[in-house]
Amino acid sequence: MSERTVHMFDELNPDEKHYLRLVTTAGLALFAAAAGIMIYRLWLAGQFSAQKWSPLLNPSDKNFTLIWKFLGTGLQATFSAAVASIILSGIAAVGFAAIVYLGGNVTSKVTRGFTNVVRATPLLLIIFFTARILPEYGMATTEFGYLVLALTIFNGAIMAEALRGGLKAVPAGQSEAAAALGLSRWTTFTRVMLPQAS
Amino acid sequence: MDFLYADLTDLGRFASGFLNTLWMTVIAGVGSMILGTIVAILRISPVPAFNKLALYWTELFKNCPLTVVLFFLAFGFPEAGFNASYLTFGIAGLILYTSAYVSEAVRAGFEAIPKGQFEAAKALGLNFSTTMRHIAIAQALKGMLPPLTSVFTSMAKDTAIVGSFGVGDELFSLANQLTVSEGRPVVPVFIGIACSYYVLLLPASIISARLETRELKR
Repeated sequence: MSERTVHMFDELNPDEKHYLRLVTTAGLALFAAAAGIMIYRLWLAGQFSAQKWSPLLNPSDKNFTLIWKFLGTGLQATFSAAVASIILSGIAAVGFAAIVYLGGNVTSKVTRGFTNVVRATPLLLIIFFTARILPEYGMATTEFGYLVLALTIFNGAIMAEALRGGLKAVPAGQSEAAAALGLSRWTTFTRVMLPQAS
Repeated sequence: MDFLYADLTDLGRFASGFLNTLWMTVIAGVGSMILGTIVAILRISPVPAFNKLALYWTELFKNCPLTVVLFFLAFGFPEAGFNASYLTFGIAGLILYTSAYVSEAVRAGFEAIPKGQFEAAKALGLNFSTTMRHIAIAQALKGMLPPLTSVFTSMAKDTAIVGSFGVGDELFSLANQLTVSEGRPVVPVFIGIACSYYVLLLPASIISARLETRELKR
């Protein structure tokens, strides 16, 4: 939420300022009218009645604790899935990038092809099919496991592509210098390229 | 060869799913481009109230999953007496959600223009609309092309979320139908659907590869 950095406008003269105030008022009035109509129609439909909101807001309602407990469980599950998949997909991304960088011609082409197809596939489809394909091959886990695995594959592929871009941007002299120093390709990747690419 | 057979017999259905996804992508793309540009104009306009409004709009949709937006439209709007088909709500949700990202991309394009360009225009005595037409827009377009490509790539994939609500008969609905309702083998269907999405997004990936090499050459 940074300040605007575009300097396209001069300081306005009084006439223009007056005009601007008019436009502002008209625009905000239009917006308020739209919001007002929406709220009015929702109110007409009884969406703001105390009865409808009491399970959420009234502690003495019989469903109050149940609803908040559900929300808490959901939040916790979302959070743990997010944390697990963030960590795992970071590892997967480095793995993909390492295979592309270190692998032979065929290996790296196949890996890049795989990440490209995964990146072009909707995440929802990957989750859906992870949960369907794995049980067929006797690798059934929990729903949480499928979700984290799918998120890891998808985000790992996306981050691997970003990492590949970063590796490409490292000057060629770096890897040549590493080769001249007699570092192995593995050491070059982990000690020279990766720190500069990320 | 068994699994190839399963896909080839359904080639017609894959094609119609592909076309429906493409159709949804084009409609939502044009819509979100228009809406996103309007939001971006409000965002960089000299009116503080509009800046705030556009900022809240952008932040609201950027921090809200598409599924939640779709739920609100499909189940909230009928409560207020606005009825439409689920497909209309789905595409409207996709447009609203993507407009936030489009507006960010458009704004980034304008903000990437060096300040000196505007000062030079001012020094030459050009007025606002001439500056915009002959100096700003061409440079802004160049700056917004890479982010817009990735925004529209994500949007094409987000049609699957709309499809998961069971509307549009697009590729995700097809996958669901083939594997769940008709009990087809899962792996070949998955390969077919994934390849369809890959073909759909091939133009976008070619464009972004071109942009990347151009960036490296500079």
